[in-house]
Amino acid sequence: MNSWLANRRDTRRRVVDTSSFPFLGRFFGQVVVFNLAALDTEDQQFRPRGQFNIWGFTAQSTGLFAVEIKISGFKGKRFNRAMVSGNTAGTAQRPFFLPEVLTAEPDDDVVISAVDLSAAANTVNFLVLGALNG
Amino acid sequence: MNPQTNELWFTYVTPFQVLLANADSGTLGLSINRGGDFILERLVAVSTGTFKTQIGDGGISLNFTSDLVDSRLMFGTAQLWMPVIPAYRFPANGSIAYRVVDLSGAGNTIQLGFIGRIVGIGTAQPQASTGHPKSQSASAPPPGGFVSADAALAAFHHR
Repeated sequence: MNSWLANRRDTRRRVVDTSSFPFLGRFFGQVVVFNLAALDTEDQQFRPRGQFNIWGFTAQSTGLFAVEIKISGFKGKRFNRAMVSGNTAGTAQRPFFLPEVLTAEPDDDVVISAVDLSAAANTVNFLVLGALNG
Repeated sequence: MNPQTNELWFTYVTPFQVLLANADSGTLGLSINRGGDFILERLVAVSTGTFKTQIGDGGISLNFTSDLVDSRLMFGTAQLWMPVIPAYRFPANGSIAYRVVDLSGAGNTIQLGFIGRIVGIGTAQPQASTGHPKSQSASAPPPGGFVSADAALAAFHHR
């Protein structure tokens, strides 16, 4: 944990040393699907069946969208506003790795807010990747 | 095989699944039968169209995703593979469960690749050298349990 934090503070490092990464749990992906109308905003939430240590996102959609992620137990914001999907989620070929592991405790809700930017109907598949401990 | 760690780099590959338009393969299994536990680190696939998929540990009926997921979110390619973090340990004589459903609306030929390491070949108590404190302290890791994916993630960053 200590070396992980130390590496996080060292912004000169291009490759993160993950030797002490707190990946507790087993590999798990939570699927979230949005069927957005034009310029619509929709929230979807899920409650993990245990502690969920989220390390990244992948997404695929039929149009441009913006997304914001919140965890109910964490009062601070992770985004000041929704950000376009291309800068929030990758694909299986290049998942978006979070700068630090985002932990949702068993009583927390993970809330994903998606906003259509395509001005047309938009189907969004969003995959929250992490380690489920429980 | 690496004689020091008793590990073998290995890929379990599904047969080509030929699906009709919008067809569902149902849950299929791939046996872990190479003499040791298998630590899954990378997911790759090739197909002639898009598909939905769900994979898991067939031995204990454990899915790795909450639902069927678009293949583009879950399976990469040889050049740009999807990392499994934390890497997942399938016990010897277990199975990888997989299911594929066509999304393309046309015939679809699909092959999945599960890339990782076989560990503890020929030993009664296989032990992975993962560097993870939990796995180092455990005398015999439980089958189907998790292991650290430090090496997989480091390799991902350096590919």
